[in-house]
Amino acid sequence: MDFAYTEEQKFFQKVVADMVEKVVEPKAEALDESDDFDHDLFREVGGLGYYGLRYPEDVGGMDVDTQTFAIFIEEMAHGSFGFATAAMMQCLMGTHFLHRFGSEDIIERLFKPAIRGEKISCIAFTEETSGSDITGTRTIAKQDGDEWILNGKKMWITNGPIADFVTVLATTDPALKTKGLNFFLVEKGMEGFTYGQVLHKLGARGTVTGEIIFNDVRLPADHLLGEEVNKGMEYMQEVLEEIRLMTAALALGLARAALEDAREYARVREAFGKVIGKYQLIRSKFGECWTEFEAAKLLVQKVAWMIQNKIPCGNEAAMAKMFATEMCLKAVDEATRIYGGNAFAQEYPVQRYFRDARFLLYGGGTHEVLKNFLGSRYIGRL
Amino acid sequence: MKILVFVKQVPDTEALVEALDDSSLKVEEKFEMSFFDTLAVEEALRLKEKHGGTVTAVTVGPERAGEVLRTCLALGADSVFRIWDEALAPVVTDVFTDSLSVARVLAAVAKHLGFDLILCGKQALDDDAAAVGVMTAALLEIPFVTAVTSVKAEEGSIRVKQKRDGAEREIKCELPALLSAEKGLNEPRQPQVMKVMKAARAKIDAMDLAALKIQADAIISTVKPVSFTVPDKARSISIIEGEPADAAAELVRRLREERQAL
Amino acid sequence: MPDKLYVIVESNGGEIRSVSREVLSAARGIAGELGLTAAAVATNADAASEAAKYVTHVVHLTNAGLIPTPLPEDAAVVLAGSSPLARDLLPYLAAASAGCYLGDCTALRVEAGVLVAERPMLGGKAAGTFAFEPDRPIVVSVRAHVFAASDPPGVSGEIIEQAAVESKGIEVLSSDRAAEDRRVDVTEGDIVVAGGRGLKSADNFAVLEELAGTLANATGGAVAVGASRAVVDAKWRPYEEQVGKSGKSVAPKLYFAVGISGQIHHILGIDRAQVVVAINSDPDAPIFKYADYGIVGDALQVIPALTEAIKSA
Ligand SMILES: Cc1cc2nc3c(=O)[nH]c(=O)nc-3n(C[C@H](O)[C@H](O)[C@H](O)COP(=O)(O)OP(=O)(O)OC[C@H]3O[C@@H](n4cnc5c(N)ncnc54)[C@H](O)[C@@H]3O)c2cc1C
Ligand SMILES: Cc1cc2nc3c(=O)[nH]c(=O)nc-3n(C[C@H](O)[C@H](O)[C@H](O)COP(=O)(O)OP(=O)(O)OC[C@H]3O[C@@H](n4cnc5c(N)ncnc54)[C@H](O)[C@@H]3O)c2cc1C
Repeated sequence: MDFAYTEEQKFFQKVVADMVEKVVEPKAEALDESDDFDHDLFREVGGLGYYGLRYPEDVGGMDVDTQTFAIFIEEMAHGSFGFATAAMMQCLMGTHFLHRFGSEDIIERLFKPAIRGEKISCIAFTEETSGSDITGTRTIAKQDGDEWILNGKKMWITNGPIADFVTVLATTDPALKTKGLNFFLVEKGMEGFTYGQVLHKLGARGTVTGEIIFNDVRLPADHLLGEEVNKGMEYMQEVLEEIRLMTAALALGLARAALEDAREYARVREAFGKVIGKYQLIRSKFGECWTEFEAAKLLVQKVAWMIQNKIPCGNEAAMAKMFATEMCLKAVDEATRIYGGNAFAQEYPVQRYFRDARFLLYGGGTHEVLKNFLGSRYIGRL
Repeated sequence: MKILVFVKQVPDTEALVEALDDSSLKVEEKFEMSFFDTLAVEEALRLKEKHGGTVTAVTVGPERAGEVLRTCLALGADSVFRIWDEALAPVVTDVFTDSLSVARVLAAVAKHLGFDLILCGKQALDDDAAAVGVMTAALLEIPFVTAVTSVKAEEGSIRVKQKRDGAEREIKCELPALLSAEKGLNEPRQPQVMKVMKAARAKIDAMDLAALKIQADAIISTVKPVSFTVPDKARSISIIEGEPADAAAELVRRLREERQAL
Repeated sequence: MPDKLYVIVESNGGEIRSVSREVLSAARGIAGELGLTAAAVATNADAASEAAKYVTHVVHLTNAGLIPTPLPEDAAVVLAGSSPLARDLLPYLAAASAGCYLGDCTALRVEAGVLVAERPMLGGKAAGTFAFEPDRPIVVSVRAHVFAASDPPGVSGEIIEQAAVESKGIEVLSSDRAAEDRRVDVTEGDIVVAGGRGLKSADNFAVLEELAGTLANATGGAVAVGASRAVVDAKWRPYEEQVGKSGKSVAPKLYFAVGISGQIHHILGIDRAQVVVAINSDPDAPIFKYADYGIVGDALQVIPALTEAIKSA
């Protein structure tokens, strides 16, 4: 059993951390303040090749292992959580189905530019009436000869309003529930594809999140992303573990940022004649958070290893996502306590971490849903 | 143009330093490429991109120092060399470097590899000695300009700017030559992931003194650290009393004499 | 047999630089303890004759270029004041003569008949004491104010003219004094002079500006003006100058906090400063807990006095 990063992973981690510190972190505050998308930053990071990390070299990717990809996500979240969510979208969900099923034309015209940071991608599951429950999907695709006609609305779509293309979850027949789901590719400029409301977010700011609308959008046959019709749910399962793992990696990066800031403060701030870092109640916060951080990190490493070795890990991935998120929520909470009233000031990033962490509760599955899932797995069929 | 860049791995500027006793220091295991060296690497790459040629990065250091060479590869260096030998261990430690010994090694490497131009940082951020570059130039008997803020290559020569003592000079320097990089020379790039992954896998070979035909007696501690102190981090205040003029004069005296701060 | 301790004398239009004068003043004492004769090298005739009032043997290098070489053959020790020229010349001389080199020392003395030097290392996080390998030339530069300047003891040394070796391959095309602008960003100052609400008005920052200018001239280093958030909010100073957690984090060698109370937000930004001086009218101001030196008094009186003290020192 070897828990150490390989020499390659260590070197990669160092390079990414340096890049994040110099390129991403200086933009974090402005991204949070404006909640707008920074196109230059997005292109710059993409231009370095990071969005292609998990894809093979023949399509312009870097073909790194899962743990290395998780290191990237963690370091990005350490610098700017909002930007990390956009980068993760581009690396993973926004491009995955194009790579998996895209025609040569789609790969050349959309996928390759996307992993170079030249086109913005996104994924659209959620609708106003269905989030956790994707069987409630009402966006509908009807076959018309070789083509498909798409109708419906999606909400809460990260970068939906500014995306160059969208991977859309739609059903061929709502009555079929999970057996009617499919992924479709919709491109900016297609007739009938527009965006609606833009949402004002609590955290994970720095992306344009909102509503996208499909009104009789005509899609060529190769825009059904799948080998067969109505297999969307299966295709989804293929990446679900990785999505949950990377959400956990986001949590690691954010928690580390919060704990480091809190430590800096605890070393300097005085109360009752001592620096607060000398008080046991403050130390105990670090003692607990640090332990939970390490435990979360171990789960992340384990799941990364399982995915890399193609060992099914639906349970472990759900646990990693949930545990890392709860760990992170506690870390950002304790950090704000350590900062006292100053945690309430916009000037300090701790309040941003506090807000950002809430996002982790929704991305990759809510904890009610995950606990329910894990509990039923543990108890077994009743 | 054949360009050599000398780079050094130094403790991270944030690394904690502890005195174990009065003759040994412990530095937290956090290392990075010395800041001024990153400027030298960038300038070498820019010269190569503009005028063609090769960039070779060289460091003298133990195995962990290979990391800075990996970084050079990731940034676009064509080849890298790490020079190490048991005989170097006493003169290149975590906390102190004997400049002359290292300069001798680097001069030998430069002769061995051949070059038109050598670039290095103005000083290394650990000892701030600013000596190795100049010493290497002296040993190679080539012209050098330190702390340059701009570099332009011309036919057989190089034109540089140097800010010094508040004046800016433009200097023409015949090749081969050595230049040391000052802040403001350029903005170093970030490496491409493709090259990072390649560099991460690259095998970094070490060359020893025998390979460079360096006699063991060329490596000696010309300067030997005998003891160390780590200043107390907690400040303790000295209040200077007196009328403003007297207090001010006393403050100036103490800043000078006790802290060499003025 | 090398039997001389040479001082490299730098001059500016014939005027010996103050740090060179300090080293000259100490040269005879150190040479005596080492059993050597003090001597000097100057590149200017006036400076050479001034140096000859301190030491008995002066080499006047004529036509010296950028790097006035070589090392006189009878040199056992070469001393110079820290300067950009010394940083080029001394390592060069040391390498060319297989000598020992240590630059920018903060102390230099003779112990048990041999030279010992001190200098900071690891960015000021530690300091070391160093000895030199025997039987080789020792080449050392010392910082300003390590030695005190004294009037010449009234020797009248001999001056030997010697032509400098031409520096090959180097040609200075132009040298432009106008480029001189030592006002730098607050994060880049070797010295930062920061003011707070205790300065009472935006106009009063003129006294800080003057102190900064004086410090720049006296030290030749980069000096910046900084501000507390209170005065940035009051629009007395631009945000670029704000020091602190929500401003900039600075790490100068010397930081002056003038009329700044020293709240944690400000302190978090100056944690890495090497020496902190606080000037505040309130003896209980928290800033004194984070400072190395303090003067309790009215900034508007202390600062002009400080400027004067630096000018006249
Ligand atoms: C910043 C941000 C960005 C987003 N980006 C995207 C995006 O790019 N693409 C996209 O498709 N979506 C996106 N979403 C939407 C996100 O995926 C959903 O919010 C998430 O799936 C939860 O769905 P919901 O909000 O509809 O909550 P609901 O599913 O309505 O849940 C409401 C509550 O009911 C609980 N609940 C639901 N089912 C059960 C159950 N079976 N048992 C017990 N409790 C249950 C939930 O846990 C929760 O507490 C984003 C959301 C946010 C906040
Ligand atoms: C979230 C947050 C972030 C903050 N970030 C920063 C930051 O980044 N940087 C920052 O500086 N502040 C920051 N602050 C503000 C900080 O807490 C202090 O309020 C501020 O630094 C006070 O500025 P001051 O010292 O100039 O003013 P004051 O606190 O009013 O102090 C003025 C001082 O001048 C002294 N004085 C008065 N008259 C004289 C005189 N004639 N001569 C000499 N001394 C005199 C007084 O004794 C007093 O100590 C932040 C605050 C918060 C809540």
